[in-house]
Amino acid sequence: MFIDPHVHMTSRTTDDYQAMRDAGIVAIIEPAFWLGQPRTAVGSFQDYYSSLVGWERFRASQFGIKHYCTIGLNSKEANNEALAEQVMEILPLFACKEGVVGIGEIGFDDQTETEDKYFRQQLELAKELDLPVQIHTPHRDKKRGTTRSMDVVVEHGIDPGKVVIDHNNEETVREVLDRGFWCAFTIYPFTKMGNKRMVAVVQQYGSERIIVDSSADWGISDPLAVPKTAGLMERSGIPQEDIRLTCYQNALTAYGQSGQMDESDWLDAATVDQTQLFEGNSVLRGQRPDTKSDIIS
Amino acid sequence: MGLAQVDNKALTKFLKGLLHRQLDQASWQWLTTKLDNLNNDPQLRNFYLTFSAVPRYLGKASLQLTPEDIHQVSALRPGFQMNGWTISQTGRALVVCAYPYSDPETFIKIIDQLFSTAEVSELVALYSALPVMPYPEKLKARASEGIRTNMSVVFDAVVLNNPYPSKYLDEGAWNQMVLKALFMERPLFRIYGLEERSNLSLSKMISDYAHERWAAGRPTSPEMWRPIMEHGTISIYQDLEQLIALDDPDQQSAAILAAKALNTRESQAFLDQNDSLVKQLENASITWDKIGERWWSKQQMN
Repeated sequence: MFIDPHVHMTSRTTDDYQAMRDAGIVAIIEPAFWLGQPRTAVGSFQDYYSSLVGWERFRASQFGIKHYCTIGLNSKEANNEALAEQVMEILPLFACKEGVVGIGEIGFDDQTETEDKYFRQQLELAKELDLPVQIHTPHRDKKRGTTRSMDVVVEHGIDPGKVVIDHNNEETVREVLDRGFWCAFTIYPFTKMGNKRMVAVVQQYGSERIIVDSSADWGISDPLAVPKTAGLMERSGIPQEDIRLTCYQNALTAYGQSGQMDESDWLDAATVDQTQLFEGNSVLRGQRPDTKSDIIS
Repeated sequence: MGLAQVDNKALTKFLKGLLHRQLDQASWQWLTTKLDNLNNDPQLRNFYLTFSAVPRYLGKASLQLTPEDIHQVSALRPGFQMNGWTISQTGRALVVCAYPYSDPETFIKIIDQLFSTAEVSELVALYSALPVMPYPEKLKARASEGIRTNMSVVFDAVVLNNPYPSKYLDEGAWNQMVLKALFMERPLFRIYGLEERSNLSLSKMISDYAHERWAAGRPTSPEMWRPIMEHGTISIYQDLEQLIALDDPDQQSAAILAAKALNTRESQAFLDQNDSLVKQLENASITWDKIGERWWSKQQMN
């Protein structure tokens, strides 16, 4: 059993969902992010958030995968101040919904003053609602951006144990762990971590508070990054318990603090909520996926 | 008259009674406090947050109904059902129905906002409560919108065990709903008013749909013939003959039941021709509901 606690399924196909399920992924978290180009109206944000708690959740359920999300204004689009103001107004409508496990992904991109302003406002929202926070660290000037993100969190009096710092690398891991934050790694070709490097990180730092995710999205990325990394860890002789913690349990412990994510959601899916049952849903009737046959009937 | 509103006081009292019985002290306390607050100070932000927060405080257990409750549910509005509801669904229906809307225009504005930001189980709660909401005649467009969904749980909430569509949808919307239910392989026997709302246009659509399925070599639901009426272009009797030829007991029973309902000279001739099947059906007391239930359970096993 695996959890991918950072994956943008809105950009992925049903083949991906099926492959993820076959590979043992039982639950996913989809952070609210940008869509590859900036939105120009608050309605686009509202419909996007709405799809994260509606259509995408349903789509995942078709494949027996529990879908959760985090809600937030991403750092790139926070730079459009007029729009950001309107988005901040609608965030509370979504932040308390069922299955919303945190405020995210928020943080810095260019590390501008405007990004800083909305990052702080959203940290305050997370504090008010007692929700975990998922932080995106910048691609450029990463090390300083990561340190600065943690400084801001601490300044707002938020417990690092409720905050996941994402997209770490060998250069940032030590400080993030030392300061008591959850430390997530994105296995993403070319620009982020590779999984051989990930194995080395776990060999060096162990499994406490370390989380593996795919961040698969509209770019060249891999929705099976978590199970593939787990496989590589196993072949590299990393103990089962460390694999379980980094590829399943730590994400559950961190985001489970929202009160919105519990192992029983997928273990007893049949008894907990009949209406969400995979088998009871029928959008796929007539277009039922079948990997075993190439006959299209 | 079908347009009558449900007695809101009786409804909220009844829902409270159901919940009181099943909730622990803390959850009940939370709910009544929130309802009192909204009644005294109907701030919209608090209304939306309360609506969203219901499952956090009331839990997701199934609602328990006694036979007497079930009787009372249908007394509130004929055809209204709460079987299969959860505690949270009931709590949300209560929150929505108990809120003090000042007038129909304010009601629809607030409800539209609730719908347009709703997550999946909120949509289910809202749509299943349509028949008991204040100002139900304002919700026709919303019900049609719900039928356009591709989330089957949401579709079911509007379409199944719900008297709203048969009371309020115009013929075009109703026909689309029935066709879509067939297309999504939903159980037709759980659609309220299926026979009463039957019309010639729908019969023609059903026949066309059957022909399309047969041409593709795909199975058809025996239930689809339940709302059929005689129509001009393609003879219904050819369709019924086709059902007999399928050599499946449920399809054959469907043909017999459809012919009985048509009640024409031609249908009588068809029944005479299939006399042994008519006898079998009568001996086994086969009804549309039974055919539907059997088809539905077969679908579930696939």
